Amino acid sequence: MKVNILILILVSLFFFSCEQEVELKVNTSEPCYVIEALITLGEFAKVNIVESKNYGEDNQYPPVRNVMVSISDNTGEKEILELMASGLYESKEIKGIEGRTYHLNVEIEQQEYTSVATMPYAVPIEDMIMFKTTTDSYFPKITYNDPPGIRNYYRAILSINGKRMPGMEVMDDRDTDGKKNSSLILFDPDYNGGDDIKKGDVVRIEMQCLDKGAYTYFESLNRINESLANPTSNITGGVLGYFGVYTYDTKEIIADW
Amino acid sequence: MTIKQRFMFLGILFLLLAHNGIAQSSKKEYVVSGTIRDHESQELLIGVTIVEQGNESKGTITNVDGEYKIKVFPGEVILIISYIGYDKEEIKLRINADITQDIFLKPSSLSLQEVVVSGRKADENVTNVQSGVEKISIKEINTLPVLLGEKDIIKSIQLLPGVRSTGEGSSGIYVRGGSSDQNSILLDNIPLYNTSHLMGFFSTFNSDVIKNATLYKGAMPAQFGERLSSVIDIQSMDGDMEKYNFNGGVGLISSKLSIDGPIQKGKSSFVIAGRRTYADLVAKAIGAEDAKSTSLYFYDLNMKMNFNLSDKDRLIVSGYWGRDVVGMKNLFNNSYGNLSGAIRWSRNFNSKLLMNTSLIYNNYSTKAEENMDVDMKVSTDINDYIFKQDFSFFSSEKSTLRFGYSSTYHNIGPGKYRYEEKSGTDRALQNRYSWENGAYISHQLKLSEKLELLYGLRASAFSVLGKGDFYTLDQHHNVTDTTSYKSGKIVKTYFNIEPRISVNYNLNNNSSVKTSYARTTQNMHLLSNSAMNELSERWTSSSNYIKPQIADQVSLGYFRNFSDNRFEFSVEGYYKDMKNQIDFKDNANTSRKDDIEIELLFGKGRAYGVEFLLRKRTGRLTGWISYTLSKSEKKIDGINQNKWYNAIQDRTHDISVVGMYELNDKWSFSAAWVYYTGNAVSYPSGKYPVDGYEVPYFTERNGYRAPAYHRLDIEATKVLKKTKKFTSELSIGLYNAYGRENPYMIEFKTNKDDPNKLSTYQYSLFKFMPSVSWNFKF
Repeated sequence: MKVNILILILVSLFFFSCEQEVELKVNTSEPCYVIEALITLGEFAKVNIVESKNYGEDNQYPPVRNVMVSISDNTGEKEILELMASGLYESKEIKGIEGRTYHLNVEIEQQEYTSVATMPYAVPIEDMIMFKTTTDSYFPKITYNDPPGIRNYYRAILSINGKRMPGMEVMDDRDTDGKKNSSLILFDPDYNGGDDIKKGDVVRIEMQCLDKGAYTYFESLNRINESLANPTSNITGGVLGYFGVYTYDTKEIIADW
Repeated sequence: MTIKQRFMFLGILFLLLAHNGIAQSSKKEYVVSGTIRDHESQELLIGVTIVEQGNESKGTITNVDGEYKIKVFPGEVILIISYIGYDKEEIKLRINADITQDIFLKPSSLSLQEVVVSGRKADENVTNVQSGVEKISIKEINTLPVLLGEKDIIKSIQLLPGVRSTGEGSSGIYVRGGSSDQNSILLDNIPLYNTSHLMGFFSTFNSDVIKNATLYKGAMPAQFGERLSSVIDIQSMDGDMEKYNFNGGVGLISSKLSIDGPIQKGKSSFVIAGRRTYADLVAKAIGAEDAKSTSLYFYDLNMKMNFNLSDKDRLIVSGYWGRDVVGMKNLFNNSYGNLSGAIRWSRNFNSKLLMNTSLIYNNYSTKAEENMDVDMKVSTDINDYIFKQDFSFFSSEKSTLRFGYSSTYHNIGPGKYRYEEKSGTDRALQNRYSWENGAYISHQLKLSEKLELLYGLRASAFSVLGKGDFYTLDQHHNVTDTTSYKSGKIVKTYFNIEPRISVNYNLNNNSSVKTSYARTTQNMHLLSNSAMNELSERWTSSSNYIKPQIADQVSLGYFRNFSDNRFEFSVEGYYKDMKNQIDFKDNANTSRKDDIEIELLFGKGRAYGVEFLLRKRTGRLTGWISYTLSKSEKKIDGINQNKWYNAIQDRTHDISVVGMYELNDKWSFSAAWVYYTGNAVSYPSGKYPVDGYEVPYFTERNGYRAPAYHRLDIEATKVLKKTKKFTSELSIGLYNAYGRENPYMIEFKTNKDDPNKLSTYQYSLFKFMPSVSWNFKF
């Protein structure tokens, strides 16, 4: 998909295009439950449960209360998560450990939503440099060694001077299993005050190793403006959101070239 | 009786009647046949009228190969040959046997600017038996205003009723509610897979080499098939057999040059034409930094050779090669395009039987390379090998029989992946092989002065072949079983019988009623998630699981000409029922996998509408007004709670107003205004937070409408110089003249100023796009 963006950049060099924010009149919708459950390496589990809103409404999403949230793992541990002051349901015992499989169980008004995910082993970022595309336009490029023999799924998130850029890159190793992989991490300069990365900027990348379910979710979320459909959730029972269990590695550089 | 059965019954009835018709007219007559050519250029002329003096009602016209046949009684006859832009010719013949008579017409010196190179009679609107057919002349193509001044046949076709553009600036088309892959676009009988350049903004047809084009959107004649909605039959021009000609043009986007002339004077000719965009070359020449590291261009190369082997045999060799290239140095390099060639042998056995034998090779390939540190290549290709045998039997003035067959071997390579680290690793998706056969018989019969029929039958057989793995799926679209077939083994064969019939009843000299029915089938399907990127599309054939698409279309129309054929009017309604239609599951991803069936859903479709056209063909001011009211829907298991929903190509209203005005010898002007209801689209009906950002929430498929689209284009052309030896003209145009911001794309994404908020952004292209082009001919 990223080549798509590059083609768009190229074509816009030759054609004039204009972008503007518009208001669309859209229908209202019945609220739908949204579950975002995360277990990251070495951290306690955090689950955010909210309801969807109408398109034009504000962006405050209070947590849904009186929900039975539990997580168990393949070592036999099981824990019921409590709603904390942060607005999230959090664990106090279960933490993210590489190779461990977790079961998520959420019960809202007698309806059960479940998911299973395994935490992959971490893959480190080997190298990160600034890569020239067109004149004065540099993007970070990361290199990592894909572990052979197993399916790996990745997601990379970029921050510039501490500010996270919306969007992400998702990668898999279907055609590059066990190889040295390179990925250019693109972003929309509009989210960086209209600027490309400048010399001296602090550029940070978090590369997550996900399992297939969460990868599928993010891969389809990435294409949402093409598919015009809700991302494929890895939680059963008819709900929005996903269960993300992942390790990650971060690298930070001062941009220079 | 269903409507379908009724039409089939009618078909059989007419077959019987036809037999009687032939028997009755079997008095002793002889056939005069031959070709009609331009006296100077030797170019074959299409649509020339030939009538016998004193028996004017028995006229005929030359076919696409410039050939004619007319039946006459023995004795002395005078044939009158007339053609717009040429002097009328009278030929006296003494007839006591079938004879061959080639005729040469002199271009008319009086009416040079009136020369219209199109094969049609003045009253064809009313008299042609076919309904839902449009002939597009090269003059129209060259006069209409277009994006960036790049003359484009497909964009001219988009202005006709029942045909729509797939989007802003696009050269893709939807015909009568069908999808864009349901059109068979033939260049000299070669069915091209890719018909557009540069994200679809330009078609692959260089207008300099097109002789004429015919669009069949209703009941296509039985010699055509393999696609559901329409046929666009584009014929390229033949080379001049007497002298060399040079045609060229320099435009904002591309430059082009074509040369044609004799290989051996009077016996053989060639045409060679090239077109290339040159924005990248100009940018490099003026030293633009970015240009050095990027490439963005396309080119086309057309070639055609004609050999008159004897007075009965002609050999035509034609070829096309075109490619798009998009790339950035050390980053990525993508390209795609067609490579195709055809050899056709045309033999006039005797004055009644004409045979055409064609061998065609057709290739479409794409290549995507990523070359940052380690090269990574993805390539796809389709190779078609086609054999075609067509016969035309002119049994009498009133009856023409066509029959033949075609056989195609398809080899689809959906993806080869190469990762070049050390010795490199390769992975390839399975090729899909298939063998497509079609046999047809079609009879055009004038039953009386008032009633004419064109009816026929096409039998198609599509065999899915090994080698390959084929999948059995359960109701949740999961693969439950895989069966491997050896090379050449037949996995499954789909047989279909496709009846076609068109009837024209002339109410009087200037009005007629036409009706038609046709069944069409399609076995090659384009799976396309994005209209923008050719590389994310994928062609697939019918398989054990993907069934042939089938459509039944009925139409009824009223055609009327006014004021001595100066004005043409028609109103035509159609209803199309479609089976085995394909759509995607939500978030389907068909790339990089063999078992694409798991991503597809199947169901049915229906499309109906009414088309109005008022047209003025002659005089200083020519043009037309077209209006279409239509609907196109799908009902697919697993989408929209299994209820009917609007197909993406559903547009309620569609209006085109086209005017061309010739002020004097020097100046001409043209304008086109289009308006259509926005596409059926999916918009969110809600939103929710995920991963720190708001995300749109979708509740229904295609439940919304994009804003209405409208646009005015204008163009002025000035003849700079016009002598016998050299002609040049300059065109200046303005695309989207009143600057309407039509949405090219609407996106739902994080607000640029407040990352906590979701907002809607609209992208528009081509607001006030000027164009300049200079064309010459010598």
